[in-house]
Amino acid sequence: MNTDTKNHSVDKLAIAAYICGDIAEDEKYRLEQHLHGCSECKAYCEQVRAEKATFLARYPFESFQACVPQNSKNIIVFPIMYRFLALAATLVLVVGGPLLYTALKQESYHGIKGGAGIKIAVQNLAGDIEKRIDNTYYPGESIQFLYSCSDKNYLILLGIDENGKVSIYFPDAHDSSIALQKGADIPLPQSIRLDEYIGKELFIAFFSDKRLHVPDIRDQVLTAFNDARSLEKLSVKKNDAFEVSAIPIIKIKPRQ
Amino acid sequence: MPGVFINREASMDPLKAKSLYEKYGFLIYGRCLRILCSEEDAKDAMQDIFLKLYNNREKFRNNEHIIPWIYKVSKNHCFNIIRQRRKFVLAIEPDTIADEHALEHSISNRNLIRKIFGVHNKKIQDAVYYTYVEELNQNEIQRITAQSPATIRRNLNRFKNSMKNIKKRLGI
Repeated sequence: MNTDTKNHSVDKLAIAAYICGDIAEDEKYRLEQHLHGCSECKAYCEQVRAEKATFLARYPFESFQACVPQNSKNIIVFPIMYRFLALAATLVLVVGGPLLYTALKQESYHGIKGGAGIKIAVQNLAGDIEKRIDNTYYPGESIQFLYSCSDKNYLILLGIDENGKVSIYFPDAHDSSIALQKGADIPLPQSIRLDEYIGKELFIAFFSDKRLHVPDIRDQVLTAFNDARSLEKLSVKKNDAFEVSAIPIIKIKPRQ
Repeated sequence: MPGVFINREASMDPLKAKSLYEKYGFLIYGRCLRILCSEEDAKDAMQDIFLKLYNNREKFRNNEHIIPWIYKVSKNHCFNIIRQRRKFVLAIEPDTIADEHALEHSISNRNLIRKIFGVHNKKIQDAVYYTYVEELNQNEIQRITAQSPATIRRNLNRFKNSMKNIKKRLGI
């Protein structure tokens, strides 16, 4: 750090290091002495400090964390040999389900970069990871969504039940979609614990190469539901803006 | 069927990631915003660069190398984004180069970056970018690019001369 307060240029890297806490004690002391007598450097230092505070207020770590994979004891996946079974089960659910949804078709992707899809793993009431060959689940079970996409895409994940109640699972309800990192079988940050509702529910994942707005997507789903008047007839189709991946489930009472 | 915990290279330890993010996130974002001139694009680019930083964090012998690394990687990453999108093309804007002495004050980052893309020599690009967009001094640029102050001055002169040549070719 140049200690000449009259004839020097602001050492921006040093000030950045000071704000980041990456500066040795003796250097820190010299810089603080310099800042005391140099209004130009002091102003720049305050500017950087304000930029940092503004950034963290606007983009807190939690919002960033939601779109990157992480280590967490709450995240569980099937061992490798069961991933194929889980994938097969998911495909059965998507393709063979009674509901009219557009399944993912590799040759007809548009509105997204590369391919993308979503599948689920379930932790049963005993705490075991289970292969679920039908689409039946129980209140209290935990579902972990795993997404795959071959390029960076944005995702909104929501669920709608037979009463037309929409639950936003990813990201927050009033936010825009969040960019996902590319990869295979990457768990979303939070697992979903199924509530006491008994009946059908449909999980719908919207992938897009452009940012989607959660309230807009929720409105589209509600409009489609109101037109169809039932989950069975509900049709949420892909369009130029997004690709859709849907997983229907039925929740029944716990086994006695 | 037993479950397994996720253990992939891209996985993150939330505590370590949070500490790193709160320390350097703003710096990465700021660099990206200067180049991409879009908050959304800068946020996306920041995510990518932060992951690179997180995955390489063990490789830094000490923290004093991290900030120059951020400047360098952010610039390269964002320039690549611009290249891929072909968002910017070299556009000659005579008004902005009429007075070379006012260059660094009179033109916006976007226009300057557009001009930098018209220069194919990476060392000149670096010298111009860090001098005029980041407004770093030559010692700081040396820490990032390893170009000596004399080389930086020479590269800046080459850039200014190339602007003059463009003016001549256009008959301005």
